[in-house]
Amino acid sequence: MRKSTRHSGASRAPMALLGLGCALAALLAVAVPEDARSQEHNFAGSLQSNYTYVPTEKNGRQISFDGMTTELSLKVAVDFTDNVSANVKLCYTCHGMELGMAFIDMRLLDELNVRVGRFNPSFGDFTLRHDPANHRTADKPLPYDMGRMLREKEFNIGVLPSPYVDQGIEINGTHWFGDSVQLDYALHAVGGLRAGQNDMDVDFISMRSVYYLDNNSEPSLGGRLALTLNLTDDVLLTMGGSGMWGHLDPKRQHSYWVAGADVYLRLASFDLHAEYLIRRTEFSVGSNPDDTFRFGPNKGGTYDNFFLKDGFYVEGNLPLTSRFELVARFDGLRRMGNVTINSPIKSKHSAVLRYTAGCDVILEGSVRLKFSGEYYDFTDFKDELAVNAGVAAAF
Amino acid sequence: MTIDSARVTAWLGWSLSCIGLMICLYGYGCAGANSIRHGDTLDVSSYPDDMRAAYKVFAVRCSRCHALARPLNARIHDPHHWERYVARMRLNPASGINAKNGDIIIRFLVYYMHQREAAERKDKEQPDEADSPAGEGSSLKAQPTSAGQAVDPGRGAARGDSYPAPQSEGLADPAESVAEPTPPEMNP
Repeated sequence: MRKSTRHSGASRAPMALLGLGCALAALLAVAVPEDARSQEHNFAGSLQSNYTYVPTEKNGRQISFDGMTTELSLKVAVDFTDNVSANVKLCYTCHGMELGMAFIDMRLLDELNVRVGRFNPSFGDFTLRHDPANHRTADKPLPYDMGRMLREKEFNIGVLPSPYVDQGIEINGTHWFGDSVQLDYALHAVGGLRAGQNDMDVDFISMRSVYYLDNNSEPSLGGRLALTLNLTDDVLLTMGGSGMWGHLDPKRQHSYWVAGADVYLRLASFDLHAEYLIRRTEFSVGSNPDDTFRFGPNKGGTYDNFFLKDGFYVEGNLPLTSRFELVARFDGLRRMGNVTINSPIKSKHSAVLRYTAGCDVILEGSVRLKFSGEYYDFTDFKDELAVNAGVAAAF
Repeated sequence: MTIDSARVTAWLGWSLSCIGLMICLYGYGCAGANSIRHGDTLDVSSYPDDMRAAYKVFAVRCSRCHALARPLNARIHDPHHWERYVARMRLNPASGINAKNGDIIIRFLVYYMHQREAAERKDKEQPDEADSPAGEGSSLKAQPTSAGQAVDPGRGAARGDSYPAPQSEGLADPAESVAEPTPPEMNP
């Protein structure tokens, strides 16, 4: 006799969200009168070329992607009507050509927007300005690092590498209470982070594989809530919280969750960003953990089947003149949990703190030169220096 | 941390070279002669008071997520397109742009668009003058009077009525305006 298929609550929720999104889209199609005006296009892009030099290593390539790297993004936004738009973005960087965006926005109200396709799920503050032309340093904060940090292989990059791009659906909106208080929300169901059945961590390479497909027939769920206060015309404060949950592996045995909190303060032309992210990631202990792991079992004789990874950054940007800006950043990344015998990480709590100071020189037009020096303070490795010199342009 | 002396020397030399280059570029940047720049900031000293105030709103709000160069360099020629553009941006999470600010920003961008189009038309009609040092950068300052009316015929003109021309009392030196010939399409 054939068993009936049962869906767990976690499986039903994305389906419900998808159904709700489709219903809203249909409602929008009926409710919004056809706009006779032609659709409008806007093309935008950015380019950054950066040279990284590691003076503390004879061969910097062994611990980093030093030398020259180039990032390019090309984006087309199309407004079909006042309420329906599409965005398509192509990115080229160290790992080749990627589809950074391909989604349609259907806006019923300010408080109700349905986004379907491939997009950056709302998470944290940095997601808004992940494009190299929109942040002041050549590289990203450690929690969002996607390969520019030193010893990126040892740490398997950041907590949630940015841009995190995935397929699915997001319902978001914004509501103003008066003229000074803005509340944003977002709920999304996307493919989620991925890993093989026996992987010890997220396989970020598979996240940008040739096939943009989910690996376990179960979307991950996430959301964000943020409160923005326009305190004066020159002072703006945003506080936000984000979360995400799902399964990594094809058999849906290993779950993960990511949580984050962020604060942004704008004082006239001075910007201050601060964020904290943490991820709990489960993995397979295997049948013979004594031979697999570097550290022995817990007091109870069992091996933890998860590790924690957290990170933070605090970054300040201060324009001194219209053409010269200072940037200072303090960030860190930490991995807490057991590691395999072959892992280069030698402790259960391996961390790095990074101190960054730099400046931007704005040339004619939107061309920006970025200079920065970075000091890495590792717990498991010798400390390092890195120097970045790059040029970025928005067009 | 272990750093051998050769590495330190190389690093110091590289850093000093960068600082030198930076100083040179900064000097070049400060010496820029253009009165209007499609970069992160804009010289709005010749704009009317209301547009100067609108620019401040635009600069503070829009630079929260991206460089001002993005909207300033956008090749948009239709006020209605700006409405949609700003609406899309306003609804981005934590934009900090309320409906009132959104309207102000649209008014500024439409004004800026007309300024820019007028300058481009002038440059096309008077290439010799535009290429000369005296003409460089002065074209946008000299023509704010007609900016609100310099709307392309057709759909843009219809929508542009929502954004009236700036008042003349906030304009640049009248003598300067008189000195500049008015492009034919701006005549009443």
